Amino acid sequence: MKGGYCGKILRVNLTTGEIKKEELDLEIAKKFIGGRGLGSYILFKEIAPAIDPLSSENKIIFATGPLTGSSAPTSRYMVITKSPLTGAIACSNSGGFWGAELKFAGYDLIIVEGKAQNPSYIYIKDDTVEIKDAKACWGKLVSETTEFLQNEVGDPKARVLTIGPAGEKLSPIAAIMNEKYRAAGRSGVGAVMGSKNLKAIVVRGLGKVKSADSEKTKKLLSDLIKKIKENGVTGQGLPKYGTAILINIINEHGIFPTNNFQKAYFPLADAISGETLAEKYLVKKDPCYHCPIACGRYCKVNDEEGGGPEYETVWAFGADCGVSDLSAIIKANNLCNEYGLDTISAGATIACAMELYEKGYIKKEELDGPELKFGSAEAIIEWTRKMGAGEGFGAKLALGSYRLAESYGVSELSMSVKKQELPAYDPRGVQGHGLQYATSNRGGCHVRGYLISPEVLGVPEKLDRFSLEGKAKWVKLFQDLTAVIDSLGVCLFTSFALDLNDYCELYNCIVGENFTPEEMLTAGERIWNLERLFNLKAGISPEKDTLPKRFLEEPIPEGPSKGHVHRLKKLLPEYYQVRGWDEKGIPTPEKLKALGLKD
Amino acid sequence: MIDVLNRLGIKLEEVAIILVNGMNVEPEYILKDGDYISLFPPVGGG
Repeated sequence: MKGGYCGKILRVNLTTGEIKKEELDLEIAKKFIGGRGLGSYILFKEIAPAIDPLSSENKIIFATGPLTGSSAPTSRYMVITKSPLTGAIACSNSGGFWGAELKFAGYDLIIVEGKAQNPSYIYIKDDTVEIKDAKACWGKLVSETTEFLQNEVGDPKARVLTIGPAGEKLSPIAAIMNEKYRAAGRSGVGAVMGSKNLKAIVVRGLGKVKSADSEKTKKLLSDLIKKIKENGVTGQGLPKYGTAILINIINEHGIFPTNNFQKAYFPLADAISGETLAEKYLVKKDPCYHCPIACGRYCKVNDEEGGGPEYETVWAFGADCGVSDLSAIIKANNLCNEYGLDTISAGATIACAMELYEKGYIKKEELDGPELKFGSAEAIIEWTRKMGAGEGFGAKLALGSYRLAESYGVSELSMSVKKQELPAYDPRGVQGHGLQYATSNRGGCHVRGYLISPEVLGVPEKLDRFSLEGKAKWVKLFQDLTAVIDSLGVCLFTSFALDLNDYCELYNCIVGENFTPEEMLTAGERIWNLERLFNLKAGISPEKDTLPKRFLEEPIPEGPSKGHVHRLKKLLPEYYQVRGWDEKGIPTPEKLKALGLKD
Repeated sequence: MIDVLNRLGIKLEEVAIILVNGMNVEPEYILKDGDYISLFPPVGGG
C-alpha cells in the first residue's frame, strides 16, 4: 500500500449485527479508481440488479475516492445503491467533511447490508465500530439528530451523516445529509437508509491519508492550487457568489425553465440571483474540507439560518414554481435540509403539481394546504414541510413528480428522465446537454456530464449550443471524465480549472502509480459501461434514453431560445455509435472485452 | 461591440460571455438599433 487508499473496507450487516473489516483488493480498486467506480463494481457484483430497492436485499455503499481526505484540493464521498426513485444504479455525491473523516478513521468504503430490527446508527471511531440504538432520534430533524448524536457519543468533532423524517418515511426523493447542510441529494438514497432502519453513521478518525511521494505531491499541488485560484470561475465567480451566480446567465440564454418548463425565461430572475443572495442574505461562505474554491453559502432570513441555497435549489423553488421571493426559497431550502429531501426533486415536484393544478388535474378539494398556484411563496414553504413530514397531500408529493403525474394519468407532465426530475437548464436550448440528460445512467441529472460548460460557459472551448455537430463525442468525453473525477473523490468544480492530465498526475503522485491520462479516461469509460450494464439488468431498457415529450415536440415559446425543440432522434444513434454500442444501445461484447468487463 | 466595452470602461479580457439578444457573438459584432446586450465574466456552477 503506497498512498491514497486506506486499504480497508468495512462491512456491516444490520440483520445479523456482524461487522467485518476486509482488505481492499488494490488491483480492482485501481481498475475502477475508487468511490463511484469501485462502489458500482461492488454493488453490481453483490446484488441482483432486479431486486426491490427498498428490500433488505439491497445494499448501500458509502465510498470515498483515493484522493478523499488527502492533500488534494476538495474532498467528497459517494453513496452507491439501487435507487427507489429510478430503479437504476444511484450514485449521489456530497462534500463537507464526512468523507475525509471516514478516511481518517481508516476506511475506503462501508458496505451496509440487511435491515436492522429497530432504528439504529453506526458509530465508527478509528478501529472501534458499533451498531447502536437510534430510537431516541428516530423522527428527529437533521440538525437536531446531528447535535443529539454528537452529544451521545460525547464528541463534538464527530462527523454525522443522517437521514431526516423523509428518509424514514421512505420518500423516493429523500436525501442523505452530512454536517447538517451537505447532501448526497439525488435518486432517493435517503429512503434506502430508512428502509434498513439506519438513521445515521457517526464517524471520527485520527489517522491521515498518506501520499506515495509527498515531496512531488507538494510541488504539484502548489501548481494546481495556483491554477484554481487564477481561474476566473474557481478563483472569482464561485467564491464570491456561489453556484447561484448562474441564474442571470442561464436566464439570459433563454434556457431557465419557468413554470415547470412551460417557459424558458423568467422575467423576475434578478430578484433570486446569486448577486441578490450575496447582497441580502449571505452571512458567510461555508467551504468543504480542504477546498480552495469555497462556493458553499450560509444564509440568514429573519432569525432562521442554514447552509445553501445552491443554484439548482433557487431555480427549483424559484423560477420552476414561478416564485421570485428569495427569502421563501431559502426557507424551503432549509426545510429540505431539515427533513432530508432532495431540493431539485422536491422543488420540481411542486412545480409539476402546480401545472397539474393549473390544468385542473389536481382539484382544490384534494388539498389540505395552500393552493398550488405558480408564484405562491406560501405554497413552496408549506408543501415542502408537508412533503418532508409525509403529511396529507404532502405524502403524495413526496413520491416525486413522475409518480404524482402518473396518478392523474399524465406522466408526460413530469419533467423527468427515468423518473428523476431534471435540473435547471432547458434541453431545447442546449442540444448536447439534452443528450446527456437522456443518456445519464442515474436519470435526469446535470452532473453526469455538464455540457453547459462548453455549450454556455465556453469552458474548455465554446460550442454552438444549438448545433448537433460533434455533440455525441463531447457527451461521451464529459461522461467518462466525470466518472473519473467523481471516483477520485474530488469535486467536479475543480474541472473548470484542471484537466485530465492534472487529475492523472495528482492520482499518480498520491497513489504511487504510473497511469497515463488515456488509461485514466478508459477507467471512466469502464465505469460508465458498468453502470449501463447494471441498468440493463435492472430492466431499464434503452427506450428510456429519452426526454419528456414537451422537449421533443413543443418549441420554446418565447425568449432567446424561442422556436427550438430538442433533436434527440438525430443525436441518439450517433451517441450509441460513439460509445461502441449496438444500434439498440446495448454495449457490444467487443466493447466490454476491450474495457475488461468481460472475459 | 468593442467600442461599447471601451465606452463602459470594461476590459475585453474580463468578459467571458457576450450575448446580443440571447445569442453568443464575437467582440467584432456590429450593434444594431434595439440590440439587447448581456456581458458576463467567467462563471460556472451547477
